[in-house]
Amino acid sequence: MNKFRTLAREFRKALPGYLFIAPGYLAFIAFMLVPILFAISLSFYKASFDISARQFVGFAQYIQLSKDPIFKTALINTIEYALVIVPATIFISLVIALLIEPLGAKSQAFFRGAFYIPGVAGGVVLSVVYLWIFNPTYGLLNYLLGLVNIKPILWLATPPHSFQAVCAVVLTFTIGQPIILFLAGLAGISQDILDAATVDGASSWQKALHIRLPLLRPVLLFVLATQTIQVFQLWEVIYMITGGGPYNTSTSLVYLIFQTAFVGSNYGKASAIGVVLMVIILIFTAVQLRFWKDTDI
Amino acid sequence: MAKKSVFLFVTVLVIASTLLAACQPAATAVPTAVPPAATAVPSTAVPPAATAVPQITINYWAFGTEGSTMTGGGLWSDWYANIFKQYQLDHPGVTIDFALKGYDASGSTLVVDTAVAAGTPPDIYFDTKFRVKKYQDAHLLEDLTPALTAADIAAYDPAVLAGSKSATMMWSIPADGGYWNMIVNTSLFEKAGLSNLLPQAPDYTWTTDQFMTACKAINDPANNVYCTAFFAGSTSMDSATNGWLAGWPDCKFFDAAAIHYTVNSPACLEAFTFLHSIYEQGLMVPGAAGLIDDTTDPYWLGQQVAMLDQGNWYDSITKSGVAANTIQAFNYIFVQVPNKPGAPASPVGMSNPDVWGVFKQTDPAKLQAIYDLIQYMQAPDIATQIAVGWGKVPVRTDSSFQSTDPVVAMPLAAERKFGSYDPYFVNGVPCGYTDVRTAWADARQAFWQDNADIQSILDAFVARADAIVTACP
Repeated sequence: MNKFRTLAREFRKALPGYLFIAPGYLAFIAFMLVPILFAISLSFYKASFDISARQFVGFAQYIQLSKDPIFKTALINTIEYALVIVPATIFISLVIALLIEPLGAKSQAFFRGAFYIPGVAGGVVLSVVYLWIFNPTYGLLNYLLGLVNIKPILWLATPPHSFQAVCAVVLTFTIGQPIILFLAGLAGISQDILDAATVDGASSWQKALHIRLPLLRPVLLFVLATQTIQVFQLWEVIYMITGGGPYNTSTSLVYLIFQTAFVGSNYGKASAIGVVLMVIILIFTAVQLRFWKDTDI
Repeated sequence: MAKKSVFLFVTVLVIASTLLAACQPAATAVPTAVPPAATAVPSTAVPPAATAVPQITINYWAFGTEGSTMTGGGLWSDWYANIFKQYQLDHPGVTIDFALKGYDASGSTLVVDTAVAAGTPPDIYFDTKFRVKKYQDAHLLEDLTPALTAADIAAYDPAVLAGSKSATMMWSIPADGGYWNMIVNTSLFEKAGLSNLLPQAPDYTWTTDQFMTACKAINDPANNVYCTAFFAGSTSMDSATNGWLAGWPDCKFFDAAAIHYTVNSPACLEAFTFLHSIYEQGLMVPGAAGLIDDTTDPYWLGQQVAMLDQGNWYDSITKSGVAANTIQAFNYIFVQVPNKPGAPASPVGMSNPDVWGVFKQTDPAKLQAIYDLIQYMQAPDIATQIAVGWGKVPVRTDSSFQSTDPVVAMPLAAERKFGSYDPYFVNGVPCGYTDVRTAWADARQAFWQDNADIQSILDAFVARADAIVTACP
């Protein structure tokens, strides 16, 4: 009884705190948890427009997915997007951050803003710009290639160029945030350590490789996790510039979900694909968390 | 502290209630459940009657956007407003709640899909047959046979009406048909001194050899002029590829009797081999697989492409562009899809009709009012206005439609002389066609590549499409 009273008293004491976090949790429950649970449930049903008339089919849709060549293509593409875009994002943004870091405060602020702007513009706006750049007959890219006598390339119409084109567009807006994070991480490295290394005769390259990079590990892991999740959810660029084509060579799992649900009106199957994607991201996040245990994040 | 806690608690309750209210399921989960309308008819429109007039509101959605213009000028929204104003005056108690609903470039109808899934579909939906068909596949549409009289049924082009029927019902009623002739920019040919290579009046027919001669002569990529263009980026306008099959009458896209796709037959292989030769010889705008219809339009409007199939669309956008003064006017004609040397002239493709579909109703009185409205709309005079507005032609043989516009009159005359055909389906559309169209877009994207293995691509499509149609309930 005393325990209960103590608990009640503690709860009353903490009530304002709970009330403050309640809106966030309620929003999470309403807009994340409930839809996730509903999607998991729906994946076991054959469901079209009339959700109330759905038919229970058990794991049939998952079995169907395992035999579906388009799903396999989308899955492989999604993994390939992650394998290409995430390391490229980390490498490019890290190099840029290392180049910006020694600059003065004003110059740093300028470059931070410049690289962050594409991220603010977003994938849809950039895709429209890139549609013109990639246009086979009057696009900027083929014009530049023409200046050095290279034949026009059908960037969006032929594999593997369509895949490469999507990667290029995505990279434009994914590098901004990591640059900011890396700069913040670099600023947090004690100057004493770097000075000590200098005294010991370390070159700039050695300092970058053996001091800065290891000390940036927590930031690196954070960027790796968030970027991977972001790339796994890639769809708007694909929707805008390739439509998943040609013949699904640039499609992704999320784009396939969109197509299945909103073009094919097959909400059950789309939910099943969504669940598979969620499991993949969960596995990846679990692996990340395992690594994070050894860091100070 | 207590006051603060109460204030915070109430705030949370308000926010939570708002969130939960936003998340609550629709009042009617089943799209068929449309309660009897209770909306009052504006008192100014109808004087109070001695006996109570049943009040019925019909939700009527037509494909388009707010500013959609009719071929030749005028807004669709204004046209519908006039038609419905008169109808409501003539039918006291009936209110028509009209809206133009758009679609996206992938050819989907997200607005309608969302409304259907939410249990609030329109009562009447007017759109291209294939986009209405998916609701029939989901068993969401009413049988419209009672909306037509025997005289109406007899008046329709049987080939077009057949596409609106299933084994058990008439799920839609066509208002118009698109003619799939080729459109040719004669200004480009005149400028190049090549007019003699074009098909001549009165029939405007030519063989594949004559086509190729003209195509090669006009093609000038160095100056950004291409003979033709194809697109395969989306399901939209796939008919612009299928229209070419008119020159290969033995090539059937689908065998209705066997419920089997047959576009991998030897005749079809021959047709697609011919089409691929256009690609191989660099006679088309590069990048077909990446193009969608909306990205092909600038090539036509900018006079960078000399001829295209599904000419009615390009006629429509050219007229709109000239009227809006956004493009320079140029001359063009309609010609027949080329036929093989020695073969009869190709028939005119007549498909992609815009149709009325009616979502299931629970109120018999309202259903009858909907039938009455469709009976009114499908009458030759109004349906003809719709057809002309879309740059298409009426599909009722009793239509008094006579176009003074040569680019409309020409295909009509050709249709009367050489007949019409539907390169997709002859006896109705099988279920699952939305998925089949996606599969066909994939196949066409594979087709417009270097060294494409045409037979394998067509075989793979047939296997995929047959699997879709076999899986139908």
